[in-house]
Parts: sequence; C-alpha cells; structure tokens
Amino acid sequence: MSVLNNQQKQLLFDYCLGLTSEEATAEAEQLISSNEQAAEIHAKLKTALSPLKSLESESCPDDLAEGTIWRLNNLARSSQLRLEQLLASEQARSVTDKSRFWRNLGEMVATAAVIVFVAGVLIAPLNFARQKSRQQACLMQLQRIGQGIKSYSDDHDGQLPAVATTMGAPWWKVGYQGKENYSNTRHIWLLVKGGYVNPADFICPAASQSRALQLDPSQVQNYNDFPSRKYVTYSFRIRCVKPGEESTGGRKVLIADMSPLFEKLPDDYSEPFKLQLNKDLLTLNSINHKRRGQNVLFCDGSTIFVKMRRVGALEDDIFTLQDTDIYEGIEVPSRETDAFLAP
Amino acid sequence: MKPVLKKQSDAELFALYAAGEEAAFREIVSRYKNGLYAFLRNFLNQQDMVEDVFQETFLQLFTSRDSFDTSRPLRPWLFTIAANKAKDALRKQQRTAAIPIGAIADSQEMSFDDVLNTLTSDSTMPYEKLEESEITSRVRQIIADMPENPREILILAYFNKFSYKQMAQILSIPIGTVKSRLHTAVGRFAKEWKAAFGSKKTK
Repeated sequence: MSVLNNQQKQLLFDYCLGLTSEEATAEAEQLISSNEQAAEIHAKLKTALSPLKSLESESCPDDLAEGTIWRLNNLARSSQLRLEQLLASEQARSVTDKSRFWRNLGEMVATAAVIVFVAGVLIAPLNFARQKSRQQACLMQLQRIGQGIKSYSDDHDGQLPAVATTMGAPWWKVGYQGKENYSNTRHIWLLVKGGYVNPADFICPAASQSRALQLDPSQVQNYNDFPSRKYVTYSFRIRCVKPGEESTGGRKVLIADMSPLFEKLPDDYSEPFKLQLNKDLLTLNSINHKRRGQNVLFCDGSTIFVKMRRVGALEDDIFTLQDTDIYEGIEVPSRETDAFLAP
Repeated sequence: MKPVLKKQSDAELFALYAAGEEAAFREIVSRYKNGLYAFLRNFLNQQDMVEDVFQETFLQLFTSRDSFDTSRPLRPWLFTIAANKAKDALRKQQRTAAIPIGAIADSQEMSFDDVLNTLTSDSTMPYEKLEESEITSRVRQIIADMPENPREILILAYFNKFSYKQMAQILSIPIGTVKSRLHTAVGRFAKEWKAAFGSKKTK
C-alpha cells in the first residue's frame, strides 16, 4: 500500500466536504476503493463531519422572505420617490430662476459697493489734484495775457490796450459787433487782433462749459469783439472816469476769473440790464474754480490765486463798486483805488 | 411571479432587481434565501440577528446596485455582503455583551495531519443514541463557540459548497489561507465534538 501524499489527502478532504468537481470526485472514489489508508481517512472525516448534517435541513421561513421583499419594495419606492422629488425641485428651480436672480443681484450690489467705496476714496484726491492743475494752468494763461499787455504797451508808447468809450455807455454787451464800443472786452480784444495773445488764453481751463472752443485765427480780423461771452471767461477792469489817469504800474488788479455778478448776461443786446446785489453776490467767488477763489492778474504782471474777493491793502472787493448796489452795466469807478472787474 | 423570470440568468435578473422590479426581488430572494438563511443561521446562531442580517443583505444588494460588476456571478457577491454584515452585527453585539470564551480561544492553525490525528478512528457512532434535536443543538453550540474565522469558513465550505476561489473572494483572503483555515475549522469541530460526546458518555 502506497503512502498518500499531501495532494491526495487534500483531495479526500475536499471530497468529504463536497467541494470536488465531478472529475475529482471520481478520482477520490477510486482512491478510496483502492487504498486502505485513503478509506480510513475517508471514514474518519465522514464520521467527524456527520454531526453537521443535522443542521443542513433548515430552510428560510416564508415570512422572512416576504418581509424582505416588502422592505425591498419600500426602499425602491422611496428611492424612486426621492429621485423624482430631486428632479422636480431641480426643474422647479430652473423655471423660476429666482434664487439665481437674487444671488446675481447680491453679487452685483457687492461689486457696486466696492466700486463706490474705491471711487469714494480715490475721486476726492483726484478731483483736488485736477482742480489744482487747472488752477495752475489758468494762472499761466493770465501771465501770458499780462505779457501780451506788456508787449502791447511797449509797442504803443506805454499805453494799455484801449478803445474809445464814452461816459454812460454800456460795457456789458460782450459779443456785440456793432460800431459802438459797448463791451469792456473790446479793449482786450485788441490784444487778440494784434496777435499779442492767443484767443484760447481767454478761456479759463477750469471753466467747464467753455472747453474745446476754438476760434479760427483767420476769423479774428472780422470781429470787433470776442464772438460771444463763451469765448471769454475772465472779467476785466472797468476804466476810471478819467482815462488819462490810468497807469500801468502799481498793484492794481487788471484781470480776474469771471465775476459772479455777471455770469448771466442778456442774449438780446437791446434789453436793459439791471442787477440788484444780494448777500450771495457779495460773497461768492468766481464760478471758474468752483467758487473756491479766483486767479488775479495785477498791473505789474504778477498773478496770484486768492480765496477772497477783497484784495490789496485797502481790502477792496474787486467785483463790486463801492457804495453801489444796483448795476445797469454802465457804472464806472469814481476812484482809481476802487477796482471793479466786469462783466 | 412571472414564470419567465425563473429562466433568466442572474445578470438579467439583477438588472431588473436594480431597476426596482418587484418580480425580480421575489425571484432573487427565492433563489438565494435558503442558502443565505442557512449560512446566517449557522454563523450567527441568534434568530433576531439572523433575520436582521438576512434582510439587510438584500437591501444592501439593492442600494449598492451600481457597484456590482454584472459580469461576475451574483451568489458570491451576495455572500460577501452577508458575511460583512454578519461580522458587523457580531462586532456591534460584542461591544455591548461579554465575549464568549470560545470566540477568543486559540485559533492556531492545524496542518492536515494534525486534523487527521484529532479524528476518531472509532467507526461506531455513539451519538446515534442521542436524540436528533439534542444533536442539532449541540452541533450548533459547538459551531457558535468556534472563533469567527474557522466558523465562517466551515459554514461557507460545508453548507454552502463554495469553491476555494469563491471563498477567497468572499473573505478577501488568499486561497492558501482559505485551505489552512478550513483544515483548522474541521479539526477544531472534530475535537470539540469528541469532547462533547465524551462528556455525554460519562453521564
């Protein structure tokens, strides 16, 4: 009798447990019938495993199987129901689109708030810087006008540019092109006509409404005055009663930013002009620099930005006449010390 | 139940099961209920736990329907779920109850020859004198007192007739380990049975 190897023992073991294939089963049976040791092992294993047979017959109770199917149906239904609910809610959301609207609105508001905040932080200093630079540019223009006056004066025996005016004639009709000298700007227009000053220099860079106005140099000779008030945003000294007393020296104010008294002049030159001073008109600064002050050109060619209307040792208001409350556009100062810039 | 379902393959049936068809639930439960019930009955030995795990297994088969590879056989997959659920249930119970001594007793591996040495050569079967119900309860007790690993493998092999390869898949262990565990389980059962029988005989 040959001794069984491990493989054969394993075969017998599997056979007794019922784990062998048909082929292996036949091989095992053949081994048991032909080998005594194999038969003995088989008997031992069979004996050892036989008590387990007592447990084999148990089958699943029907109520357990039914209960399982019932729970499976519930689970399937609830999962189907849940899926449908999710789909329905998803569809409902895309139809109304309400939440997205509010979310987008919220984002937009937040972005807008940030922009407003940044703008608020930046705009004030930027505005200030811009105003400052325009104020400086305006000052340079006045200096150029001053130089033009100086050149004119040099060319004309020390005389300031002047046209003949008569007492009581109006000086407010800026843009009037008739023969009569009814505008105080006609004196200065001589500077433009004579080529002493560029016409663009009479428009303050800070005066918003006058920007980008360009006067064609070829047309200058056709005009007796500035074409309209838009082309001149400065106010000029009204000459004293006696023209001969005028001189170029001293700290007399010659030109300044537009007078707050004569911002609005009648378009129709035939209409009478009348202006009653009020509290505002007595205190307001020029509109050119947002009422913060005005640039001033003196007779000696110097310039300065003043925050007050009262200039010089006498603190004379440069935009009004002393002791005069009603203006009809014909008034002239009675004293040389009473500066009056108009219109 | 639709008779046509009885002829369908596991894969075809599973597709209907996954779709939530009641007829498919019935057919799959009917195909595997006895084998699964026997496995759980022997492995867990507590009726309420057996029923819970039995139902949980089929419910899990439905909820994890997307993770099942339909090209593979259904039965080992079902038993994989059942074995994991059963072990989870036992662990949950052990956290609250005292651990039976048998469960933590030696699980040392036995060689094939060790197994044969424990087998009795006595061809007479003295326990035949015992009543069948007593045999059943005694066998059940021995199996219940076995450690988890040999108990599980003995049931899968002896009662459910899984191949070594399938058992390796179900338990996620190498085939060699399956074999050695099965040797140990059979040897251990024989030893315990002999001891129980001996105690009976002395009475």
